Amino acid sequence: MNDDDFKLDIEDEEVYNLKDFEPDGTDYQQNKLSNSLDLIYSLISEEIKTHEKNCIVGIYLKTQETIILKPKGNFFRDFGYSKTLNGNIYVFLNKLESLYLLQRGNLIIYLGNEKFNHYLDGYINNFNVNELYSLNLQHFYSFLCSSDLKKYQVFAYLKRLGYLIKEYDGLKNHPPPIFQIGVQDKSMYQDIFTKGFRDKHYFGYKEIFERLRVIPSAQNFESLQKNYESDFEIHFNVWKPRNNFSKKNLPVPDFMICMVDEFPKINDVYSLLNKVIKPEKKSDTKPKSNKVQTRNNLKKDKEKTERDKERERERERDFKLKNNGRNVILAKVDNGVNFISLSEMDFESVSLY
Amino acid sequence: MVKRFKKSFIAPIPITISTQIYGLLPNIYPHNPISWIHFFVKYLWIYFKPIPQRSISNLSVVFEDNLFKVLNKQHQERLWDYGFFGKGTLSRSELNWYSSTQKRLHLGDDNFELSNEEITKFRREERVKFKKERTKEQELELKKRKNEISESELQELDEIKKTLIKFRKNNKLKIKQERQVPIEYKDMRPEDQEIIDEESMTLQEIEYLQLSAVETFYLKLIDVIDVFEADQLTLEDVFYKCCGTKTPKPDNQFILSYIAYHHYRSLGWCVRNGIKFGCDYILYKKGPPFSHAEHGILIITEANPKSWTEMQTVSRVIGSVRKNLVLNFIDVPTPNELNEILNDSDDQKFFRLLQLYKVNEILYKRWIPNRTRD
Repeated sequence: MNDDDFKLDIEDEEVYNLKDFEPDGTDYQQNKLSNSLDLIYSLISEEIKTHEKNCIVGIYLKTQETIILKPKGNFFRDFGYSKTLNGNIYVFLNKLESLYLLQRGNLIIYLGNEKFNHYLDGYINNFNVNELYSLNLQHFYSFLCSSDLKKYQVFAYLKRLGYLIKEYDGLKNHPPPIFQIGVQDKSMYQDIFTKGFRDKHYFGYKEIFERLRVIPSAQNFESLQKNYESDFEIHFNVWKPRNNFSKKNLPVPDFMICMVDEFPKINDVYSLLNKVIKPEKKSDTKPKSNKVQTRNNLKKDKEKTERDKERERERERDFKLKNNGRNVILAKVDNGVNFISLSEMDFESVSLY
Repeated sequence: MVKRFKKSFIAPIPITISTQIYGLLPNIYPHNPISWIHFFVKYLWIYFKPIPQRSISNLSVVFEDNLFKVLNKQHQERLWDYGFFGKGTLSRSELNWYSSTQKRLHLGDDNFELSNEEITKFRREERVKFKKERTKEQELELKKRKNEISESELQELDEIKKTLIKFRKNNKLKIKQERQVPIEYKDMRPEDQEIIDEESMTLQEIEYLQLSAVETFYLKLIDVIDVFEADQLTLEDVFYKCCGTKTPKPDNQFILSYIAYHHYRSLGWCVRNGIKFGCDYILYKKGPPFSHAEHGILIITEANPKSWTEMQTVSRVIGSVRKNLVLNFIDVPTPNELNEILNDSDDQKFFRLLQLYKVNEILYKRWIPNRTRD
């Protein structure tokens, strides 16, 4: 194939909508469409090949894990865990990780046997991998049960987008934050209905609203005080693509994902949130511009009226409202994968008056 | 070109507070003792003045045909200006049927204030015009591609392209109002004739402000309205009227709606019905004339769980109008707890009733992994 074939046929810099490809009966459009179709078909029909150098050999063990004898490549930044057996360091992959690499063509998997176990235990010194039975993709798929398959769909989708993923393993190394009860005593405003708001001078609507605020509402992190019974579990920790990622010293995950079937009830939501580690606060302040302080600029800053400041305060408040609580992501597999993010909110903490 | 008259924000609830009448208290600067004295003088001065809310009589609401109606014009205005309560029965929200009908029939002076409905109507018309031009352009483009286009059509295409650019750039509202001759009584539509007096040519007001059940109970609770059926109704009467039964269950639809309503009202939000967007309420910071609503509230209870389809549907609609979808999971007391309180005879029982419930707020959002990668 020529290099030119891969270039998309963009003649002008117009942006196309779906409706622009409505058949208009011209040969011009027909040719364009069939050309790009041919290109896609030829790409798909290409045999996927991996260079011998990049190919990894793994052996599938009875423990449902794949042992990698010589790990190499970028995948092992987040894939698997390493363990030392008889002085050799090996990497073990779980089923999802193995399948992902197998499907990409980076991994050849053999089915382990007794002799290989003896080799791992150190009874035999030499072992030839070619003696083992090699597993093809179809065969490996049959090892997955239906829930695994859904998990794999989510895993592979996020992996293809470049995210770093590990299976959730509890709140290791990250103790849950401690919840402090805010002022919630509302009994002092008991006289509200007998006197109405004609009893005294009010100097602002704040006073009135504070008296009306009688309905209890959940505060952020309040659910930590209770244990919720629920079948919902968190399945994956997900990190945005980053350079300084280390398996030994895992950073706080950016997203935590739970695979769901039913829409959760409030108990389930709180039970999930209690298992979540909250990422450190993002700095929401913009970097200060290095504007030269001329007399003109200073004047302009002064002209930055009260209204602008008020707007800035409002923006900050809105940000706080949406981002101060914990957050969990639900993944619902239904032909494709749908993601829903649920975060706790506390309107009372950022009241308008 | 018409400039639209913009209202200024007055107050979030129909209660007049002292600072509205007697002016704001001066600021205190800790290092400046004169500001302290100034503050206390003003404070004392207000303290010995009469309380303004005391001199304002309650607004009257009539309970008729199972609806809460406000018929007095001044009361309607006060309820709208102070917190945006109620809805005009013949208008989109604010009462403006009367003025728009007058304008349509050219009865009074041509006033230049445009109602929201008129602006929307005008925008839609502009949009239709734009789309017409665009289809014409597309047709000509097609002809051009097929090489069937003539010289004159090429010129037309160029012109259409120019007007389309003008349309896209222009987002200012320009409405020309034409002064027309008043329509004769005999030329009017029969339904118009019915509500117009032939001799004085005056229009009869048939629109009124309708309060929803939650609004009525809230206003009655803070004691700014009186509700009349045959006699004046007490707070308790209004409560049972709203519930629709004398023996409400803890998950009564009205009580649950009211919990969410009172919760956001007491935090200073302007709460309006969210039926337009498929949710229970929408929250405005100040009110509909000032900004778009920011949050959509959907109430969910144990007894009434939602399916994925329902959730995704609401979320799509709310997302497309750039609002946040906030789920309100409401904790409900047992029937015994509720009945115990309802059997009390004092006036404060509704306060204790509100305390039995608890609001849990969860923000529901679609996560698109493609967009959060960095």
